[in-house]
Amino acid sequence: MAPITNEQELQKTEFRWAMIVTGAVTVLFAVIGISSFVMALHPPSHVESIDPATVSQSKEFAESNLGTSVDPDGAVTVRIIATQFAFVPRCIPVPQGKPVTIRVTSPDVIHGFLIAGTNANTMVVPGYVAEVRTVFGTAGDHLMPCHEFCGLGHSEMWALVRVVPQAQWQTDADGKARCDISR
Amino acid sequence: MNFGLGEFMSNFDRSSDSPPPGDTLDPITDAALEDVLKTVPQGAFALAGAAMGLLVLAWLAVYVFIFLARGPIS
Repeated sequence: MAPITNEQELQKTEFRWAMIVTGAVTVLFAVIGISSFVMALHPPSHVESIDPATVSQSKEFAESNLGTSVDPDGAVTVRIIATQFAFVPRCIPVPQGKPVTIRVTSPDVIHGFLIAGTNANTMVVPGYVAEVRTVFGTAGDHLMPCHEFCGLGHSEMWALVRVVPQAQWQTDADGKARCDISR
Repeated sequence: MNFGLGEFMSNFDRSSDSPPPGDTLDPITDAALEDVLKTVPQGAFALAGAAMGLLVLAWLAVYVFIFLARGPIS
């Protein structure tokens, strides 16, 4: 590169650098845009309201209906209540390599959850049902802590997501899966 | 209230015709200074280019090998 000797040359240099930076930012946005479009990726954006005062009396989030259930069409749905200071149920079995819908609500304060080693991550707001759909590719136990400070027992609020290989995946007669039968 | 800021800053204005009094004792001549500054943009280009290139590559590596590898969410 020839030495830059005057003001005009300096301005040209700055313009060239601005173009390079613009190009780099364009590449990053293009990668995000194209991969999101091709793989249908988007942040969880489900909006569904529920009365937080009667969560446990609702049909969907009644205690007997919590946990992992497999519908007759094969769809896997996990229903969880996040409450101070525990997730109910505490251990959540899911099949490896199949689409799973996770539905969570809170009867008290704002909670959140993330599943370690996956992109599943959302807030759980009282009055709403948070829904995340994902596929678990790696078998094994994944920690699922609460990631929104919810009170003095926040650090003790966590659950375990057990990703079970297809060959070992079992459900009971009602289509419910439990950690003690799927190992 | 005047803090004399204008006067203070004018001592750093190298484009003014009359050099500030302090510079008369400066052993570095303007010609020598310009000679050194000629090569500065090339070094800045190399440094900024390498830094930005590494940053973009690191971002792409995290996006492809961690975010996308963890599976889709919706």
